[in-house]
Amino acid sequence: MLDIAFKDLKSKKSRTTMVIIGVMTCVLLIGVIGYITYDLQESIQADANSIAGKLVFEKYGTGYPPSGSIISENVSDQVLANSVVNPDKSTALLSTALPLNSTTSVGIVGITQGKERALINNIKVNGKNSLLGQSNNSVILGSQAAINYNVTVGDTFTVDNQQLKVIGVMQKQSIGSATSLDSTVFASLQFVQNISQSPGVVTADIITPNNGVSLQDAQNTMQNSFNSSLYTVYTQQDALQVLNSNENASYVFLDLIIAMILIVSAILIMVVMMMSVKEKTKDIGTMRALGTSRMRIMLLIIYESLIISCIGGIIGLILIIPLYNLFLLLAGSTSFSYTIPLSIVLEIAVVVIVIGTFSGLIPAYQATRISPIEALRYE
Amino acid sequence: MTNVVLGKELWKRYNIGEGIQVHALRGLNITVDEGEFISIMGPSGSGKSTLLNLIGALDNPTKGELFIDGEKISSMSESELTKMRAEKIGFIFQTFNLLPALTVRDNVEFPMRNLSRDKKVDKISRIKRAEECLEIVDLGHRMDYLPAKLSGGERQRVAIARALVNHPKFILADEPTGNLDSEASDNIIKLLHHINNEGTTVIMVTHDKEIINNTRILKIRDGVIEPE
Repeated sequence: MLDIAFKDLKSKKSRTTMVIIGVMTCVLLIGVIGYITYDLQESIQADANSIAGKLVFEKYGTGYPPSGSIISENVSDQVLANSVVNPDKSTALLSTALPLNSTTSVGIVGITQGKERALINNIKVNGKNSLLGQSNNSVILGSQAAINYNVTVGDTFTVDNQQLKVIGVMQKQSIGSATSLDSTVFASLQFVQNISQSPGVVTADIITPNNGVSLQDAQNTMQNSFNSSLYTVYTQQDALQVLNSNENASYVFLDLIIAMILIVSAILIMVVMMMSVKEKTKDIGTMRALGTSRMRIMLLIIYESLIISCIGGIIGLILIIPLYNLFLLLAGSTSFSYTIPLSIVLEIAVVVIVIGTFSGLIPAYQATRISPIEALRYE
Repeated sequence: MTNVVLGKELWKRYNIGEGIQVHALRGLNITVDEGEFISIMGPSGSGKSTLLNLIGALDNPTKGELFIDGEKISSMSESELTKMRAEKIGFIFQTFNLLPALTVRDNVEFPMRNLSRDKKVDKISRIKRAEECLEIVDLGHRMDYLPAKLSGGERQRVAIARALVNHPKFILADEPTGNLDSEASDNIIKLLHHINNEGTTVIMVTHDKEIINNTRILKIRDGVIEPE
């Protein structure tokens, strides 16, 4: 019956093409939205990865990446001097924003010179990967920050009357959207304290537990050592929870759009297949008279629906990357994706099969109810 | 000689709503022997189509017994009737009823797909048999055509080839010349007689008195067959 379904669709070229375009558009939209969601989750994960195996010490709440918290440098020093803390791999940081122009500001993070690896981890850096021994105004840029300010290693640029010298540029963290690290400018803590006029304060401490101390033990020790109503010590998991909950509304919105597209797509195929069954009443009657069983008639209609859905799905899948890259281009991104994540391919495959099968079910049932006697009289 | 069709006291009643019942057949008896060429004639509303539906295993009688090739079909289920149609009956319709998306060859091959598992044949054999049947109706040169590209007479010849393809017990032809000009009609009737002479039983329903020569004529009126 599959070959007959193909021939049947081929004989109704215009209608088949229109439905395939409809399904393709739906798949394309679902794919791009799926890609946006995937990208968002990836960048959140990449963001949180910067504190994998570490703790963040902050005042009030768990607002990763740390920004609103203000901790005196004395408290920060006490934190970093605690016996469970590995001082070589831990640092205080001060996060602030400086105006680049009247509409844009620069996110700048000050970290203790020589302790950059506490935050940058193993990210590859073009140029120098440490501020230690460099001039006071030296900075290491995230990949997106370098693009935003159109600078590379060795260049200088001016922010809020401060001339900054680029000594290193980090490689990009994730495929799609820029992470917090990608957009950040790293400078020495002292320099950031000076330009933000915040002497003696930091935003948070990034803590790596000492060898032999578990993350949980370190968290408990730190939390017990400092007033828990003022200070919070949190892990990568806590940060992920916060980051994801910040995006919950976006996820729900995107899921709603996908659900609506799915419904529209299913209705589209169903209506066309119902029309097709109506048009083919006489043919179905003939097939029934010639001894075709109800099950095979049902299969024929479901096959047609599945073929339309699969062709539309495959074309849609092929076009997802160009459309997504167009979306990135329009959003101002300069890095593009050239592969579709397997999760999206699987999602589309499931969508296509489910839409194709379910939207064909009602018309197929309708077709099996056609009486051959009535159908043979049908004109 | 075996009865290909044997109908005893066949009644068919239709409910047409509001409690009104119509008796299309009223105790009709019919016997068709193997190798016969039968013409069923009668005015509109006489019960011709109802009889055709019963003999064609498209419907069950309300009362009475109907046997096709010795099998009692009057109490068969829907799926058993479907199997009976596929394996024992060849249909020819007034409006040809070819499947428009399929080529001539595919149309003729199509009924072979409906055979039950034990009688199924592979695709190569199906195509070979379809081509044989098309040669019989002299359409070997039109195998790759779509029905829309054929004349009425050619379409009906394809329908005859399709009816023959499963080696049916009988061919049921419903007004086979109703949509054809006289020349094409003559050709179709000659072809049906040729097939009949080769051994296939033919049961034809028609209004056309000019095509019933050399056939056994059954006249149906008010739901019963008039004495011959």
